[in-house]
Amino acid sequence: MNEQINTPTNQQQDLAGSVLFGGDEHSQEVKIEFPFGLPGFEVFTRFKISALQDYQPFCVLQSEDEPAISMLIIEVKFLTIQEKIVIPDKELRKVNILRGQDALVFLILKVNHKTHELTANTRAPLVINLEAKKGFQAILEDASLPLEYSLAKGLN
Amino acid sequence: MLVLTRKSGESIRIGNNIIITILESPSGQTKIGVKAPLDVPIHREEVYNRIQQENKSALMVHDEMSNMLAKYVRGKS
Repeated sequence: MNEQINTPTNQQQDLAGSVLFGGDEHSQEVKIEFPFGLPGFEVFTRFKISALQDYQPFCVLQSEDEPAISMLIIEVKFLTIQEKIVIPDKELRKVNILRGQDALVFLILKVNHKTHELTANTRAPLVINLEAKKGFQAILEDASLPLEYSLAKGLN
Repeated sequence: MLVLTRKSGESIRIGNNIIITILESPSGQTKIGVKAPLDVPIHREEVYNRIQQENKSALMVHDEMSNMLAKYVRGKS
């Protein structure tokens, strides 16, 4: 089971026809440039997002230059907290997005070792312009957005 | 560290296109205005540091994640 996440070959097979990438069977993964890097990994700007077909709707964000920088992510639309996560226009313009609905927004997931649950960082979403293949990690002003939002209560 | 003394309303220019203005400093708290290009990320230091920590703690541990994902996917169906 681990290999389905670990092994590029398996991943590519699993990704064919992913809904995330428009159902195009040739779009197994998408390369996205993060010009500012990510907080904590500022020097890495080239990433790819791969959908895990056997584990939909989960995806993996991975550095092209340092594969160990690899995070589980999920599109915000799959979470019940979606409507509270509002990306300001000035943030959207950083990746040349003029309308909110044109942005692809992901949340980074981690394991909470106390509860053994997956949690999502709702305060710092990944905002992606899929057409331009550019993204950045926003840090939202709304301090009420949890850094560890439990997926157990919030997965659609 | 360069230390500059500024009064309310006075500014500091960084490079060609970043201006930091002291707006108000009534009692310990200082209000600062920052004018910078869109492509210069500006954050409160402590918030940025916290997001750095969160990102580092989100690095995938594959055994752990795959077990976890199986649980969530099964849970949905």
